[in-house]
Amino acid sequence: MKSETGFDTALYDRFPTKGERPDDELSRLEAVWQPPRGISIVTAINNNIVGINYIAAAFLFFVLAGVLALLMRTQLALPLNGFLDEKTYNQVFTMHGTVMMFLFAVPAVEAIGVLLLPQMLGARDLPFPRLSAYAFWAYFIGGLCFFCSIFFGVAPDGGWFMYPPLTSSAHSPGVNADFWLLGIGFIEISAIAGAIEIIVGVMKTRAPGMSLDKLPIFAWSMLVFAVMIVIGFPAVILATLLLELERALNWPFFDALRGGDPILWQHLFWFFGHPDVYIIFLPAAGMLSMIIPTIARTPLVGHNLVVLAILTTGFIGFGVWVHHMFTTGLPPVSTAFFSAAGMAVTVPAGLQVFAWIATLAAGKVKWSVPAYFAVGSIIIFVMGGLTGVMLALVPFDWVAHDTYFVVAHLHYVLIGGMVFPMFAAFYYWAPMSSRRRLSERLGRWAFWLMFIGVHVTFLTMHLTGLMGMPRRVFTYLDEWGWQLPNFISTVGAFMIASGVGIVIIDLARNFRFTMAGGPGNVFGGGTLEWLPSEAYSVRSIPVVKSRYPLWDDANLADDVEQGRYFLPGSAIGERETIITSALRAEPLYLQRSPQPSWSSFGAAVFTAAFFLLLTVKLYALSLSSGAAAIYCIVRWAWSLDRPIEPATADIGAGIMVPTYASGSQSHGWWAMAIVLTVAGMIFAMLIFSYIFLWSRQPAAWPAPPDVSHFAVAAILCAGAAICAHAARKVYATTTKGAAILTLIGAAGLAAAWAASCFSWRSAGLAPELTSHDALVATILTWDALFVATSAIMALYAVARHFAGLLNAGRPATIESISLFLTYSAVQAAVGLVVTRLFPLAV
Amino acid sequence: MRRWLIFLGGPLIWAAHFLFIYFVASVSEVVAGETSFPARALIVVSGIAAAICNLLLLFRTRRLPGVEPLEIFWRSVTATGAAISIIAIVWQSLPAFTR
Repeated sequence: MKSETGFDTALYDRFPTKGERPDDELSRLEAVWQPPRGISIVTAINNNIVGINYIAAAFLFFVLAGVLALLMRTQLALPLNGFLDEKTYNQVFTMHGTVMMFLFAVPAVEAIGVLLLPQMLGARDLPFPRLSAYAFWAYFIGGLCFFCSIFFGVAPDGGWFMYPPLTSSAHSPGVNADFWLLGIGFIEISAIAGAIEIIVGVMKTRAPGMSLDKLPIFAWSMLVFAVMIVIGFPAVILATLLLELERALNWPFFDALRGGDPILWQHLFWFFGHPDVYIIFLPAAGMLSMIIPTIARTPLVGHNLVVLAILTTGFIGFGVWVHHMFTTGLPPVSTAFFSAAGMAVTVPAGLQVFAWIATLAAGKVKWSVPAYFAVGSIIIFVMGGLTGVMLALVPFDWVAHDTYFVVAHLHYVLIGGMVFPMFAAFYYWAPMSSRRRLSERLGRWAFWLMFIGVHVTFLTMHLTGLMGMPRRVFTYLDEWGWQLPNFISTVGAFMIASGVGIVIIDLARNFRFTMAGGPGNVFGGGTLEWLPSEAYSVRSIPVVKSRYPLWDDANLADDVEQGRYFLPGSAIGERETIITSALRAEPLYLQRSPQPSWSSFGAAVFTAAFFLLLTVKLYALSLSSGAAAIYCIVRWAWSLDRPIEPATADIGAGIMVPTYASGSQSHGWWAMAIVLTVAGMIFAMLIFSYIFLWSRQPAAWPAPPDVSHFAVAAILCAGAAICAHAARKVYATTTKGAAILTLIGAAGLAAAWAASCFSWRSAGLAPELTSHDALVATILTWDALFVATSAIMALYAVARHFAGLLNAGRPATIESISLFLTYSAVQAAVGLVVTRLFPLAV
Repeated sequence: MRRWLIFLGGPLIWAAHFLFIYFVASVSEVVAGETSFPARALIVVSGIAAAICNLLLLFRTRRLPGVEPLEIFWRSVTATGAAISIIAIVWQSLPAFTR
């Protein structure tokens, strides 16, 4: 067998090992991975604890948003109903959509990933367990506070996509819109933190031998999901930032009178919003691709094509954002491009559906609750997909736009493409995390109530839409003829709620969380998550030789449980997992995993507090929380990149690997690269906004300041990049010199920023007067964030030097700082070029 | 990185072509107030060029190793992705012929 890294793959033949394991090996492993007890449980970072908490929180928000849906359906059941007034109704429908999309759907699939991926990949944990815990707590605390805004009548009321000018301060005074704009800030951060964890986890922590051809489909889908978050979420981050700046500082990005354009919001929002449908669908489809082979008792048909379908969905999903903007007056040819892409995206989705049907046909289906939900999901999703093709046709979209037809379509897609797979997953994987499996009888009742309820509610709703009923109206007149379909939809909604209620009863009666495995592999799954597990995940990490290792090796579970594979104990007496190569999953080094600590929990609490206090305009408290969050994050980082003894460790059968790595091999480098990709995407969207607003009113674009300041700032940026590069080069010989170079680089960057600000100020920059000046000021503000972070990082490097924590043999810290400084310098230089030279060029 | 670029070559070329034709149509709208004939011609020509790139990629996949399971998987996904992308690029260019 060929090797990717020089690792001798013949060493795999040493497994399973023979002979007894040392007596105290297992007890030491258990002690190392024991989660904290008492109040300290909030600092737990084991993936199974964080994963279950995460899923429970997401399900809570699903139920809360479902209750809001019932309030809406009650109001609409009868014409001129007075159950909700129009203001409350606006808040209820806005919160329903927002909570379902931001607080339920994305976090739920991320949560299932956190819970399942380490076990499925054969890892002890994900590579950044504290990041998962941080993502969860920021989301949970912030999400609860955000939801509570509805009890005080200050919840957002501009629809879940918050279109300006309706949501501008002129038309939406008060803090309702601010709750949406700042309130979901922590959710965006949380989603990106989770995405980093998942990308690095899938690429670097797979069991030895699990080359990409053997990677479970769920892991493929989570990988593409996470990459789509990294590409798509920056657009909505920027959109919320711009709208909040417009509301708070009167900077006119969306005000047409001052050179702005509300269509810019739609471009930015839907560049995130439409891919978000696939961000939600892909992991759910990945779950179905795991569940269906098990219930059909045969391997997935067309495995390679399903992988290709997932990958192509990740691409085409980003070519569909104008799908939501057909009625905004865009050029016909442009809309035709997006119409074509909208139809094309059904091909990979359809391919997965055919693979599932073929698998069900090829095997012998054992009907159970997961099977019911899986098949129900396929039926509902296909029906939603077909109306999606109808809406991709521009003339039909003109007719159906903003009617209940669209509401029916999106609910079919999201319920079939995400909600039903999630319930299938609950029933399928519950025996992995609960001492008891969930009830088959209650599960079937829940399924039929939900399945029939979905059609009663939403099939009828297509008709309501075609009869002309628009979305977001709180009531209607009797003579318009919408009463009967609305009443039927309300009955259906309560049927769905009854089904969900039965699942809640089932969970209350039967779900008892355990890390030690429950009934186990009751459905006969063939992948690694069904190995016996504990707080430390699997006892030993197996060599993977096929896509369904448990089906192909009857002794695997026993051998793993007896510690006959990799890492049967704790190699260096700490929490650890094996980092493997990206393609062939060959062992590279032993990663020392962090221990639970209060720093990640504190960082999450203060991050959520920062955003929420900012929303209610308690600026001093908000800034204090922000500072406290930064302090916690620095403390968190301070414990990383410490000396490790010994330099190499035995990971089983006498195979020795290093205990430290740096550069592109290390998981930390990958995380920094992904963070910078997110930053780069936000900046790219900012540049797109600049060019887009120029294209609306080219004549109104003013000439830039004189070129001399540009030259000074550009030279300083180049100097900062050179210092960052030099710091990395000299590190092996002088750590002190490297730390000082990072400091000089950060100072150069600050000087470039100051020079740029000075020249614009001299030229009379007035961000509240024109969209051009507002965008230039935003680019400068964005750069300021990177200047400040670079300064903190450089001071951090100096502090580590004085603390004796910089060591020539451990360059990871300085590499990350250097990478960040280089990126910041390049970003500042691109900003200079665009704002100074683009107006001259055009 | 090169290996990944080839692996994702088909969809990457599709994406680059998609962004390019959207850019061309938008610029034409700003400059000429409509999607002009030169812009439409550029969309078609770029579509042909992108399809040819994918065709070359398809031939290139025949030289990829295909003995081990990972190599077979890699080659199969690369080749199918390139082939499907040719169809997608042609499909995506058709609006150039609309009014």
